[in-house]
Amino acid sequence: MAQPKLAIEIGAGLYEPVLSGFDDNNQFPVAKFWNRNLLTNYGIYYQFFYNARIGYSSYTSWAGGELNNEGGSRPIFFRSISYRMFPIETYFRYKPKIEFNFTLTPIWGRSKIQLNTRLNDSGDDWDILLGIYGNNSVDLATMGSMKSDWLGYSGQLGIRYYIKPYLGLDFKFGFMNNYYSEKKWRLQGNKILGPVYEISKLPIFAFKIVYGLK
Amino acid sequence: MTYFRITIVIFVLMSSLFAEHMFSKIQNPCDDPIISKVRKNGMVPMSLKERIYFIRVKRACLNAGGSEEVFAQIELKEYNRDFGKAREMSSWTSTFSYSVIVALFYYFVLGHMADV
Repeated sequence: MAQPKLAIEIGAGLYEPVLSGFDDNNQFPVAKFWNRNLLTNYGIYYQFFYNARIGYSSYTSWAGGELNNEGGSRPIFFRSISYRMFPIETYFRYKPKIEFNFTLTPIWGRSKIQLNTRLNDSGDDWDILLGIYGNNSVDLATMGSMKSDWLGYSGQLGIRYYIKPYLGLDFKFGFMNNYYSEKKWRLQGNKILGPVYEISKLPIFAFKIVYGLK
Repeated sequence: MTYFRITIVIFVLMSSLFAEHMFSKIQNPCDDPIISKVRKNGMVPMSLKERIYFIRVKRACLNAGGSEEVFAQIELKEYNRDFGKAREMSSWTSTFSYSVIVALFYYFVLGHMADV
C-alpha cells in the first residue's frame, strides 16, 4: 500500500475580493474579515494515478446580518459565494514527511442571496434589495433566493506535512480567475441585475487538514 | 432542543459503532494481532475503527512497558514506503506540474508587471 487513495479535507482559505455591490451601500452588514476575506473549505480527493489525485473542493465565503432597508421590515440578509473546484493535483515527496503538490482546476462558482423576511413584507423587502442594483419590481410567488453561476479556473501550489501516514497539514497558495457578471443573476425565473463583485483575478491562500480514509 | 436531540443521536450512534473498540479492556496489548497487521500493511488501509483500536493498543502497550521503538519503526517504515513511491513524478505528472508553475508565474509575475 502507498499513501491514502481516498482522502477528505477541511480547512480555511484567505482572499481579498472587492464586493462593491455591498460595500457601496450601507444597508448591508458591515464588511469584516470573517465575511469578506475568510473562506471555509471542504473537499474529497481520489488518487487515480501514481502521483496524481482528482477531486472536489469547495471554498465558500459567508455573510449574514440585518438588512437596514428603510421602509422595509429589516429582514435577515444572507449571502454566500462558493468557488466549487474540480481539481487535478499532482505531487511528489521531497522528504518522507513533506510533499509538494500542484493543482489546476476549473471553477463552477455560485453566489446566493437570501432574505428571511416576514411573509407580508416579502415583496417590499425584495423590491428594496433589487432596487439597490437597478432592477424594477419583481413578482414573487413566495420567499425565494437570488442566484448567479459563473465559470473560472485556478492554479495552486501546495506543501503538505504528514503528521501521521494518514493525516497531513496542507498549505496552498495560488490564484483564481472568475468570469463573473452581475448581469447574470436570477430570481424565480426572472433575469435580474445583482451586486458587483470584483473577483476576476484573486490570489488565494489556504490551510487544510487532510485525512486519508483508505 | 433540536441540536440537543441530534447530539444525543450522534452520541448513541458513535457509541454503538465504536463501543467495542473504545471501552473493552485490551489483554496483552504488545502481542495484539493488530500490531503485526499494521507492521505488514501500514496504517493507511485501516478503517477508522481499527485506527482508534491501534492507538489504544499502542498506548496500553507503552503503559505496560512496551518499547516505543517498535511503533516508531512501524511509522518510519510506512513513511519511507510512501516516500519511495512518490519521490519521483511519473509519466505526464511532471509536465502537469510544470504547467501549474508556468500558470502561477504568468499570474503573479507577468500579470503583476502588466498591471504596473
